[in-house]
Amino acid sequence: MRPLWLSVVLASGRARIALVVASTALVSGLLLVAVSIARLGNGYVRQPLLGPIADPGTRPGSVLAVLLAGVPIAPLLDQCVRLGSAAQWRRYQALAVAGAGRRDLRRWGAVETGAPALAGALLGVPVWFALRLLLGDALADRGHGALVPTTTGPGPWALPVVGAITAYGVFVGRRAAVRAADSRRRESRPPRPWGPVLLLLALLTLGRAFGVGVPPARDTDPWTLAAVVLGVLGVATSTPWLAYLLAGRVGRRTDSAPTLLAASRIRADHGAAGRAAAAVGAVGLTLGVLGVFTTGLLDLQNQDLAYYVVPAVLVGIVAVLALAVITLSLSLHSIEATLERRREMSSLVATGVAPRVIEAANRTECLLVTLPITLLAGVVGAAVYVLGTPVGSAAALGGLAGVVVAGGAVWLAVQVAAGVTRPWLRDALAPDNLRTE
Amino acid sequence: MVLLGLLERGPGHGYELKSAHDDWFPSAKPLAFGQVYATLARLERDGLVEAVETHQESGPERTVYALTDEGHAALRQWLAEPEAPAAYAADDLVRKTVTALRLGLDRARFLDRQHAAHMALMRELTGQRAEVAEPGARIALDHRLAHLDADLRWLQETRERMNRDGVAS
Amino acid sequence: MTETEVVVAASGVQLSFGSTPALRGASISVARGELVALTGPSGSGKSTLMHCLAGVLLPDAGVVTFAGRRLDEMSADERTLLRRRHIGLVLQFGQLVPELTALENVALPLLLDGRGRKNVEQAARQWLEQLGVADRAGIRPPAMSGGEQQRVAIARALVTSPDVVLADEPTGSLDTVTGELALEVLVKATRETGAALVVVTHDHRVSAWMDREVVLRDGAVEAPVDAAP
Repeated sequence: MRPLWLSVVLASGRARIALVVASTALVSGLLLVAVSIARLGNGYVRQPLLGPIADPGTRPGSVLAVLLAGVPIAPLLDQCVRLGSAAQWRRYQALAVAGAGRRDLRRWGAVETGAPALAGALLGVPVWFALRLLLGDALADRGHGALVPTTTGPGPWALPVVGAITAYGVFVGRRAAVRAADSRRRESRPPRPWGPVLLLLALLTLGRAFGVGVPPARDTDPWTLAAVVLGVLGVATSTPWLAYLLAGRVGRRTDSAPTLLAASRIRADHGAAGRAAAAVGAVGLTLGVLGVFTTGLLDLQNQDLAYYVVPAVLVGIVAVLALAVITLSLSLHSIEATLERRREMSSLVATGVAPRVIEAANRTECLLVTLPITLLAGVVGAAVYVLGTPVGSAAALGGLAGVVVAGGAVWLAVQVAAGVTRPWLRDALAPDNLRTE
Repeated sequence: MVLLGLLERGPGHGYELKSAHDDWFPSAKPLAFGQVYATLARLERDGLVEAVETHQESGPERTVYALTDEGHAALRQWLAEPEAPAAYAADDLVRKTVTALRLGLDRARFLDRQHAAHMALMRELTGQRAEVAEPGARIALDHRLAHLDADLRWLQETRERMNRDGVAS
Repeated sequence: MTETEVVVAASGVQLSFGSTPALRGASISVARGELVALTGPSGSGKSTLMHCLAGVLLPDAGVVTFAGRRLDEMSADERTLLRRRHIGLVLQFGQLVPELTALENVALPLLLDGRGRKNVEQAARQWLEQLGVADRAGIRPPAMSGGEQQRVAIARALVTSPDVVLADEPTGSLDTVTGELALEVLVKATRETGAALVVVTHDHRVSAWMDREVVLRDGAVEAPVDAAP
């Protein structure tokens, strides 16, 4: 007989383990790239690197950009780790009833998610290496600027990166296992409006940097960077609260049944909705800024156009992909939630609610969370950038274009997800789920 | 009445009848000999049974009785009517059901008829209960309904047991 | 019973789940305002027959009609509309949307018909009051007791003034006293709207509330037996 812990861990399914490994590998690889860029030191380097990365002034910004590329992977990782959480919940609850103690459950939960996370984190090294080959050496050999440093690596910093990712997996696993054993299912608190406070702080920091009301700072870079970090954090914490608020307002006013269902689901499951909103907000902000930035450059007719525009466009592409991935993971989550409530959903169909209506409710749920926040964040980002930097009015149009692109990507992702998952949804709504015998 | 049923299987004397009765109803009070003979005498007087032989062996006189045609008819009549559900113990219900099943006379139909009789009364009492508001009266009705329900469930289980044991109706 | 009086009827319905036959030629006819109990041992197919009457399942053979119209001649959309407007469904459990309040749950069928929110809310509130759960209007199902949830479900079934209410073991998950109260309220409210009521149950105390009993055994309806010999 296999050891008990192995049986429990393998019970979570191969697909889930594979997803966790894949997403942690990606995050780990990206983090290692970011670390290797940061390790380049403070001076110019003799590697054929892409401008902004080579230039120590803009290097922190490029580190941030790489981290930003990891932003969508993080909720996907989170989602993967939570996928199947209902089944996991039942499994651990059954184990608790059978007599497993809290320590046992924590141990199993830690292994169940931590082990794949560790595997993925270690796989991050070959991922980093592959990125280095593809985006570093390959580009350098052709005479372009490399995106990934070819002579430096993460070095000893690889260990804390792997450790951090593994720790995250372990932490989430333990928490899920213990929560399942806790029979009192407490309703989680709705999100609080801390976000706007952080945003205000960000604005103040920016003002301090550029001398609004006070003499300007000598070195604006650390202040700007701090402002950016605060801004992103502020967006990340405001958006869940905004999504929750919006869902409540819409739910109270709407005449449409799918919208009512969607809004109530968001309020009930505000954790997942909030996470998606945060990720989407951060990326939306980026696209808004990028729109202004890129058109501003084109306007300036600068010699070093390629120096700035190419990375900007690259970040833009990554950001659009990121939006798609985030929206996709939210759609998957809402489908999973519907599948968990098969009996209620098929009862709804039995009482005369067309399956079409339930499909529409799922789509509306995703759109309601992602679209307004993306557009708002994009506009905010564009506006801040337009107001804060000396760019022409044409750049504002560029910002608008960025916002439109962001909105379009989100809308498309929702439609695609709905189309792909339709068979599973129809299956969940079948009258077979009504049978009690 | 049960004696008639016992005699339906074949003639017998008092002692045999008493043993058979106690076999059929192990949970009931054992039948007293005096009661058997008194009942047999009464049945003979009513023309439902007749004495067919008289043994004289070592011991008391043993008369063997058998059913008359009237006796057969009376037994059939008794079994054809469903038992009016009683307020308390339903011994008569059990007696009739066991007799019918043991004799193998149209078992399914017997059970269905009994079920219908009980359901009719239950429907009537439920209707009454809806109109009665006074808690004491309601409780009394509830008691009767609960016993009817128990009897009905017993009848259903009996039906299912019959089907499962492969006994055809 | 004339044709116009019959609200819903099934004739010779056969249905199998894979290779397991559930219904072998079952027939039933329900008249306007009638209260019918559908009984039988577990596995006899009574829930399946009810689902066929509601148009949720389509039989492999046989005909189900609603007010004279054949269900197999309707599209899926038409059947959904039929269920929403003319049939009220009450199940044993798991039928309310957990994220919506009681009021929103009851109002859902009306909202789907495109009625404005204001008048919909009023109608829903009236029905909650009639069923004695008006004070739970703003509460969500997970926070309500089983009896309260069933009353909300009954309100939702009756809010569109259906022609027939189909209830599948409506008191199955409730204790005796709560179940009796729920049933009493179901029968009273249905009678008041003049709708027919078909209750699938294995509980004799429940079928005693109905006008007549239809017994299913092994997927077919048994001929009714009288008490008289």
